[in-house]
Amino acid sequence: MPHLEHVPCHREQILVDADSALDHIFFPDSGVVSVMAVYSDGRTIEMATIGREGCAGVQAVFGTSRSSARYWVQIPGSAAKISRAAFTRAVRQMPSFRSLVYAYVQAFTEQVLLSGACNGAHGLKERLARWLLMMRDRSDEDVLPITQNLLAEMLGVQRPTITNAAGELEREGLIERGRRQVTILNRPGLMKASCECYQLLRTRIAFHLPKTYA
Amino acid sequence: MLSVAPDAHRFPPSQNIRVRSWFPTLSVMYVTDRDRRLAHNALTGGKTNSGKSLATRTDPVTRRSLISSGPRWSGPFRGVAFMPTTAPATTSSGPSNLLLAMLDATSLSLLEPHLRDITLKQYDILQDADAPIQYVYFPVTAMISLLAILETGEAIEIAAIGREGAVGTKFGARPQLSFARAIVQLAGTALRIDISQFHQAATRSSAIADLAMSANDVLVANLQQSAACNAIHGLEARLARWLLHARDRHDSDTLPLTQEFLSEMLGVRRTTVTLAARMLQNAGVIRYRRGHIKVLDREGLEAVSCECYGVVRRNIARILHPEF
Repeated sequence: MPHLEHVPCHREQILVDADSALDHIFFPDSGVVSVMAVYSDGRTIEMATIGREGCAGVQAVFGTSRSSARYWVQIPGSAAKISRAAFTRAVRQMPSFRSLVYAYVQAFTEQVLLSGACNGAHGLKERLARWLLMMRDRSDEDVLPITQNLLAEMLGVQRPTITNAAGELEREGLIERGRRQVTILNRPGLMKASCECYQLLRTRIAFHLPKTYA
Repeated sequence: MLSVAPDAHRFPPSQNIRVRSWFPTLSVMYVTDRDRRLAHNALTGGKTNSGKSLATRTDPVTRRSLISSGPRWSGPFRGVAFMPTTAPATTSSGPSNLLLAMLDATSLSLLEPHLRDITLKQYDILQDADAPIQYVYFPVTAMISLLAILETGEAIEIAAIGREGAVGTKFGARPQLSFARAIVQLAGTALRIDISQFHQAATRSSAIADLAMSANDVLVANLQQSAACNAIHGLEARLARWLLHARDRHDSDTLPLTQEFLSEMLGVRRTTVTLAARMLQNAGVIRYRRGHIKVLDREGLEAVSCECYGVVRRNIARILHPEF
């Protein structure tokens, strides 16, 4: 793969900004990239989560040259970076790569669909548990370097609201909050506290991409 | 309607235990009368009106041609930027699906012999999650909702598609399975083509393939926006946005929608949606009656709605309608 360049992804780095040119596609090796909506008042919220199961900017496969969303490094790591031109060429010329990319588009679409529905229908505590579990899957670490401010921002709620929800999970012995991190103490317990959307999402991703988190 | 259920054999054997959890979801379909009706209509895709060629085929209501022969972009969005004050029922050249209207004559001629005009009834299920896609639908006056089915059986709307788009243009992965349930939210007309015919045409015309890709691009962008909106915005704003999207795709200010249906779409309790609707009514922007909601003040509704309404419209404009 002569077109792949391995680059570090620093915390809070913007890989591609909202409403700007989608020049590169990033395949994370480690770390987590959040797909963010950016509102006109500067408020941001996570719309989807990408880890080593996928890539940031897969919309290039649709022929788009601009990104509507911001791709933002949530948990630092590294990624293989490829230009959009080389990416679309590879999709066109390599049937095996094409099927893989299409499978990921399916998985990604379902992730967005289900988390969107979950955001509308389920309570904050369940959503928080789901979100932490998704982070855990993608970062392979029980210690997630995430501040409470960030949690509030990702889930689109006020800081005191997230403090309450996280406090509940902590009292149940499922997580431990630090100053700049959240530690998952009891993953099966957290799965119980989460809505079933977490399992559903994993099932769907495993269906499309059997070699990822199955 | 067992055809709706996902076949376990499509999944790796190790996934079978989890897959079982989909069945309770589907069994919910038979609980109420409306659900029986849904099940009855499931996957029939509405009735075919005729097999006449498009040139002579007309909309059963307006008697106008189903495919516009007028200029491109002749539709409800023309020249009104992102905030139309009215969405005209028909243009001078008749109602049309805007995606089809984008195609050049040669590409359109590949699809034309296979397109059937059909009437879609409210609540018809056109596709179900995990069931094979049979048809691609190009709404003309109908509005179709894509629903995410949660484990608990709740079906929540996450995107709405009207004459600006199409349903079922999924590509690539085999077999062609739908990732969401598509139901008819507002009854009306649509053009329908067999998925295999559509794919054949798409392999022969890059314009058709590109259009399908663009439709998917819009869809993913709008799904993302809904995910953000559902997390961040209050029910009143979401309800206002939802009504605006429906109004954009419907030719009348009166939307035949029950509060029960709205509460299902928005994923909240009936009483909660009633409160939000009452607030909008007290603000004078809508009036609701049994089974109907009338939009009284479109601009007022936009003021109540979150900016996601504009974002979704801009996504459509950016990807499908560059002239805007």
